[in-house]
Formats: sequence, structure tokens, C-alpha cells
Amino acid sequence: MLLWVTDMARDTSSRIRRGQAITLKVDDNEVTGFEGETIATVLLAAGITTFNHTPDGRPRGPYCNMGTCFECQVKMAPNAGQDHRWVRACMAPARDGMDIQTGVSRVRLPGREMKTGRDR
Amino acid sequence: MNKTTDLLIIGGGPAGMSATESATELGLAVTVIDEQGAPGGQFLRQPPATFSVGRWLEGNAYTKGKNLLKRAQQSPHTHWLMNTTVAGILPGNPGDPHRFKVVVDSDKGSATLAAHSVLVAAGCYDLPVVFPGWNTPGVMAAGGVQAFIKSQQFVPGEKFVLAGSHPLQLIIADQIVQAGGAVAAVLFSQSRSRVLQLIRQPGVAWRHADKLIQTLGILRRLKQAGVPVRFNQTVTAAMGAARLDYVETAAVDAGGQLSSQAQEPIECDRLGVCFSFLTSAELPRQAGADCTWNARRGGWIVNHDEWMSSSIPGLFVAGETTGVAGSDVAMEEGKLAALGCALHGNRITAVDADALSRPIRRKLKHLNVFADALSRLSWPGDEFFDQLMTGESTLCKCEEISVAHLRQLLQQNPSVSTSSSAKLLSRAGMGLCQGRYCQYSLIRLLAQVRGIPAAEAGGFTARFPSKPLPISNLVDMSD
Repeated sequence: MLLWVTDMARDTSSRIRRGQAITLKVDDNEVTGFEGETIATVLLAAGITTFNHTPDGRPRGPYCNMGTCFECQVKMAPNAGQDHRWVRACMAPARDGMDIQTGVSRVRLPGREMKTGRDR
Repeated sequence: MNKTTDLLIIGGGPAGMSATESATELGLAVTVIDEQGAPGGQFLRQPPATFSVGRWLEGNAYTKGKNLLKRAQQSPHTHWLMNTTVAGILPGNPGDPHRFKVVVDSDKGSATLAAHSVLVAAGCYDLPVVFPGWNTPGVMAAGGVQAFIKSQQFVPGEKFVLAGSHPLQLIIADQIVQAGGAVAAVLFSQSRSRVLQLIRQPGVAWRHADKLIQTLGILRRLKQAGVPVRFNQTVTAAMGAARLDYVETAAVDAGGQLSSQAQEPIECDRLGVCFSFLTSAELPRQAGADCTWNARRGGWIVNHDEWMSSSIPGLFVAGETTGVAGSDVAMEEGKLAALGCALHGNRITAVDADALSRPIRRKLKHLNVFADALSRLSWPGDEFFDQLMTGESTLCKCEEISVAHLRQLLQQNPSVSTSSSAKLLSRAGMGLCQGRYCQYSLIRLLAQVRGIPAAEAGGFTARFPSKPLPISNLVDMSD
């Protein structure tokens, strides 16, 4: 996948100064963000809209942007080589060196399939 | 960290900040907990500390709140516990001077705090509206779009559509345009005259002239920017496989009925949905406080007395949790709740509390007239949402259960007529959002299928923890 950093969506007016530039690894790409940005901002600015997939394989991205809906979860390791855990991208600040995985499928725990069946 | 305190305030928004200011003036030791990194709430969602933002949230609507925020942040008597989630409130033994045990969670782990009184000022969130494609990446709560602009100085899309019935969407459209974004359309489901009726409300207009002048200014700016504001129209579906490509729209008649005639779709990569709000009442509900269901005012409304005390002595509420009414009402209710807490802790005499409360009550009376008019004119009615909620729509987004599937389950199980039993039957409401995003729609479906009033369908039982947290954090909790 080709990724590019765009400033199109960041408000670039002169009244705004962002934090220091930081570099994150997102999937297999290096993505630039600015200190203080949430992971959600960094990903959307890089053109990524699918943050995770549901157990049934549907793409999901940010909805509430205030920590209540859990739609924007991504897998995050504070540094490359460390364990990834699910975080809410809208609540977690992006930090230099973070390793993010997007589009990961959330798993349905065994036994959670209903006997009544599920549509689709 | 102070483990015990006089007053623990949950939520650092307008109500919480205002309560903090009043309570510390009355000599109470106060701790404020909030999930965000800085106080202000959603209304004053602050830019990160690493940003420098000139002319942040300009306009009269924010002046009062920004002044309060400045005072609150400079107050030496308040202990702020930010980036912290409240998992639950345990009311404990009424005889215990610090009866309330509050379990909190942050990236440092979980801990228990004890307080004499607790004030829940947890605010509200955008009403999730169920329609085909509402979970497609690109569809957002309008409040979420606004938070990106207010806080992150980020315009999350190239071409926006805002659809709803709440005048807030005009403010958001204006903020998008001013931040350099493009808005393809703002759609109001109700008529132009109904939206403008607010401006002409006798007794409302002259008291709230500043708000009306602001609205008129916004309409002028949107017109100059070429943003079409359309009435009697709504979005009926969000289309796109991996991300939003366009929205389908339909005309809405004066009675709120959707037309079946197809209209020209609107291309966009971001839809902001802006109809109404639901209160964040999970914590008082979980603690056992009495609530009343009122969809127009925000779903679960926490019952309270004239000092903002819930049905549990020592557990207070202020702001949107008492019915969504905006930041001005929230700030006054916060002051009143602080007086209530001081009274509850015998820090003030009844005579003094009464005297101090009088100007607040007078202001609240006026503000509530405006808030109620706004709520009545912006609420499209339950039946409006029923029409959007077609069979193919996802009702429970976490467990991926469609409206049609749930409807079928209800038909096969005629004894199921409450939210809680429908949850057991279907798993709707068992996911990560803990039912926050399907509660309203499930109640509507039960009301439709069973022909019962919403109150009879009831809500999901609010349980500990109020938000998912790693079980290892609870295991590691030292006390």
C-alpha cells in the first residue's frame, strides 16, 4: 500500500503551531505526525480510514472521537518489537517510534456465536 | 494521589469546572477526574499542550466558558486527575464519612478513591442514529468532527455533509469552512420555518440575543462560502464499500414522514450526524440512582432534588446528566450542586445556601426556557428515527446484529419485551461500547414490535466497569 503524508487536512494557518515532528511506523510505512496529535489524527491525515475490521470483516473507523464508541481501535506497540495492544486511536496520543497496526480483525471469542445464528 | 477527598467530581467540563470553583470557595477539598488530557469537556476541548493555537474558539458563545476554564486551571485548591476513566461508583455504608468508593483506571493501572460526596458531571454524547451504512468509515458523530477541529486543529475530510435536526450543525459547518474544509451540504430534517422559529420565540429572543446574532452571522458566512443549507431533507443511507463515497438523501414532509422518492445522492468522504444527544448517565445508574427515560432530553435523565442531589444521598448530578441543556445551564447547575455538597457536608447553613442559590436559580429559570425551546424545535421525534432504521441497518454495531435479525428474534420470542431480556437473547448491547450505541434504537424497536411505551422496555442494566478495562489492572489493584 502506498502512503503519503498530506497536510491537506491539518489546519495550516499561521495562528497554529504544532508540536515537534514525530515518526511512527504504521503497518509497514513510516508516517509523520506532530507531538500532541492523537493516533486517530495521524492515521486520518495519512489517508488511512479503516482502523480495524469487525469479526465479520467489515471496515471500521472513528465515530465519536471522544472515547465512548470504541470504533477507532488500532493495535499499538510503544516501540517496534514490543507487544501490541488495542487502544482507542482517538484517546491515545501519538508518540515517536510507535508501531501501529491498522485494519486488524477483532476476534469474536469462542462460545460467543449465538445459537440463534447471525445474519450474513 | 489523594486517596480521600470531600468531593469527587466526575467530568471536567462546564458543569464540573463550575462546581469545582464554587466548592473550593466553600472550603471543600475537590478532586476532578476526566478521561481527556485537559479540563474543558467536549464544549471546550483543548488543543494539546504541545500546540500553540492563536485565537482558539473565538466568538461570544465561548467567552464565558473560556474564562471559567482559565480560572479553574489556575485554582490551587483543585486536584485534577486527567487521562483517567471512572470504572464505577460504589455507594458503601451511609455511616462512613467517606462512603463513596470510586474505582478509576488510567495507564498507571486501577485504583480506588474514597469521597464524602460525588458529583457526576459526565456530559453527553451524540445520539447514535441507525440507518444503512452508519458504521461505514467516514460516517461520524458531528460532535466528533467538531472535536477534531477544536482540539487537534484537524479537518477530518475533504468534502463534508452534515445531516440532522440540531442547529449545532450550522456552527460545525462554519468551523469546518473556517478551518479550510469544504462542506457539500447541511441538511435539516425539519422545515426552515421550524428552525427559524427558535429565533422568533417570544421571550426567548431578547434574552438570548447573543446566540441569535451568532446564528445569523453563521448563515451569512455559509452563504458566502457557497454552502447549501437545505431544509426538509435528510440522509437515508451512507454508501461506500471500504469508505464513504456518497450519501443517499430523501425529502421529509412537515409531519416528519420520509418520501420514498429517490433524490440526487451527494458525494462526500465525511458525514457528520447531528440530531440530538444522549446523557452519560451510566455511572449514576450503575450506583443505583433513580432515573427517568426521556428521549428528547437525552435518554436516561437522573432524578434530582433542588440541590442537585440524586436519590442516593451524597451523590450529586449536574449538567447534561440532568437533561441535555447546553453549557450555560451546566455551569449554573454546577454551582448549585457545589452548594448542595457543602450543605450535605454541613459546611454551610441552610439559610446561607438558600441565599447563595437564589441568583443561580433565577438564571437557571431563564436559561431553561431557551434550552427547552431549542430541544423541542430540534427533536424530530422517535417516529422519524424509526423510519431510518431499516431492516438492513446494523442495530448493535459491536456484536454486528441487524435490525431485521433482532426483529425476527423478537417475533420468535414473544415473551421478550425489555432491553435486558433482548440483550440476553441476541447479544445486542454486550460489546465494547456496553450498549451506549444501541440502547436507544433497541428501545425503539421494542416499542415498535411490542407496541409498548419506551419506559416499559427499560434500559440495559448499567454494570461495573462502566468502560472496558484490562482485568490485570483490577487484579493488580493494591487495595
